[in-house]
Amino acid sequence: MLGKLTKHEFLACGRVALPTYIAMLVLAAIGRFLTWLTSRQYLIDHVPTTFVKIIKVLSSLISTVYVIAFVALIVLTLVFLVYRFFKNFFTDEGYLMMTLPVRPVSLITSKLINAWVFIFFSAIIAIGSLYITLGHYDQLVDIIDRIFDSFKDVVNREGDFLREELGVPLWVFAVELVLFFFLLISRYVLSWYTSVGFGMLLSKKHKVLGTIIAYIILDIASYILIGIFLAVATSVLPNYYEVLASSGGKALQITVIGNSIINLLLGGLLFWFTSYIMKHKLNLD
Amino acid sequence: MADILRCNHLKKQYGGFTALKGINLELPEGKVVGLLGPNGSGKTTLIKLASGILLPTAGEITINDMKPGVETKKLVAYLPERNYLDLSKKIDKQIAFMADFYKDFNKDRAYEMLDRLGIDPKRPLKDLSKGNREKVQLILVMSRDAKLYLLDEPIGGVDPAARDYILETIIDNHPADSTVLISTHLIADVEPVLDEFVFIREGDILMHDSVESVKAEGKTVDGLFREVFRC
Repeated sequence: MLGKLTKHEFLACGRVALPTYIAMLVLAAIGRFLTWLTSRQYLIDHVPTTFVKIIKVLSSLISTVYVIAFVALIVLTLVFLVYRFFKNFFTDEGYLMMTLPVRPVSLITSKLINAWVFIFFSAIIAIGSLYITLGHYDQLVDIIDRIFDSFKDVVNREGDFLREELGVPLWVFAVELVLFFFLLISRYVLSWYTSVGFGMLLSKKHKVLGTIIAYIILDIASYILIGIFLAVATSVLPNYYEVLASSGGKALQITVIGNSIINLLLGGLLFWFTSYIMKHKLNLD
Repeated sequence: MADILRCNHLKKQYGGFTALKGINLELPEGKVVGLLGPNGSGKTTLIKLASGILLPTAGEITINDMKPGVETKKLVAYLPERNYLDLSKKIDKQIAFMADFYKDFNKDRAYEMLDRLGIDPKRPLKDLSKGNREKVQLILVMSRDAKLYLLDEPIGGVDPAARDYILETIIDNHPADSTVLISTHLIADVEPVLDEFVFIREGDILMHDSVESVKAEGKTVDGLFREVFRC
């Protein structure tokens, strides 16, 4: 059932996301074309000045719209995902979704999987559109080659040193970093999902306000839990702060792993709390 | 005949308000039952508890001897009072969605019913009139071969012709061994299709009897309702 839920959620999100992504790329391409057009000396010399001015104004306008769209894409992806969570489970649509023969855990997991997918897609589209706007196509392959070469150089020259500093092989550290970002995003998305559910308990009339207040409460609670975690960590590792202050590879390791554990624990707690609210405290209008 | 739904001292409170006051009720298989009472009597709360979207404060409710959960949701087809569909979705996508989650969903029956109403399944729900949206919701529910149908005010707020269509659709499409629980306060309209009725007021069950026994006394359920609920 999780697969089916994920599929339908993917299709529903895709219906909104795909045109947005296409619009973003088209906007970037138009902006790039107008910038290229206004920099052609031939055009400046052979067409009326008014026309060149119009093109330049249009180019500036498109650039401004693009910058707004770029920021909106990043922010609205999260807003859209949280809104869908709210709409599917805590409005009238909840009468359908909450009577499907699936557990709340599956419902939340399907939303989370789609959140990962669409945050990833949005990031790719944002980077892609930025490249269309600013990049030089002929240099693309060259840049990628250079990035790989510099990585190879660093690993060849400093590999042993980095391995020693980090205390683990480089590929292990790379996996740790991927996990770190994965858990960070999961915890962030889950904190909003929980806030939506918790917000409904705080106020049925002012749902948005309830969600924001719930988010603040949960944020404060998570800082308290992080404090408790650090207190436990320092009692287990007495030289925790010394290692952290050394700014070396080990400090980096301890930060990445420590934060991953915190995000895993908090994410798990938020997941459980959301599931509990949906199972025991749901009260649709 | 086995009971499909059982309530044992079932109680539901919302904060300080008691919506159901510890009711006992058994509904047998294969009956069309009217859950009849004025607004605010606890009809919707009882249906929400049976559908599994609310949990009881005390007591127990079972469907086919199971507490509401994933397994009972496979047996129950629920039509809420509200418009629960995503209006931006096309009707055929909604049908595919239902068929994906309910093994007992009969796609052919759904398309047949839409065809009879002249509704194009390729249209998004937002393009339909309010009345047709409600009919599509009913079609989605009645296209299932469920064991228990929970229909919350299916004929409330619709014109008499639509009421006839809705009641016909319910009666023509539910399997003979299934139970249909129809909540309404429009007694006269629903009476001809009922086998049994339950009177509910202020969270208490006042009466549960067969329509036949009321008729044997030369009365009607509508008349009895007026007697019992006289203001």
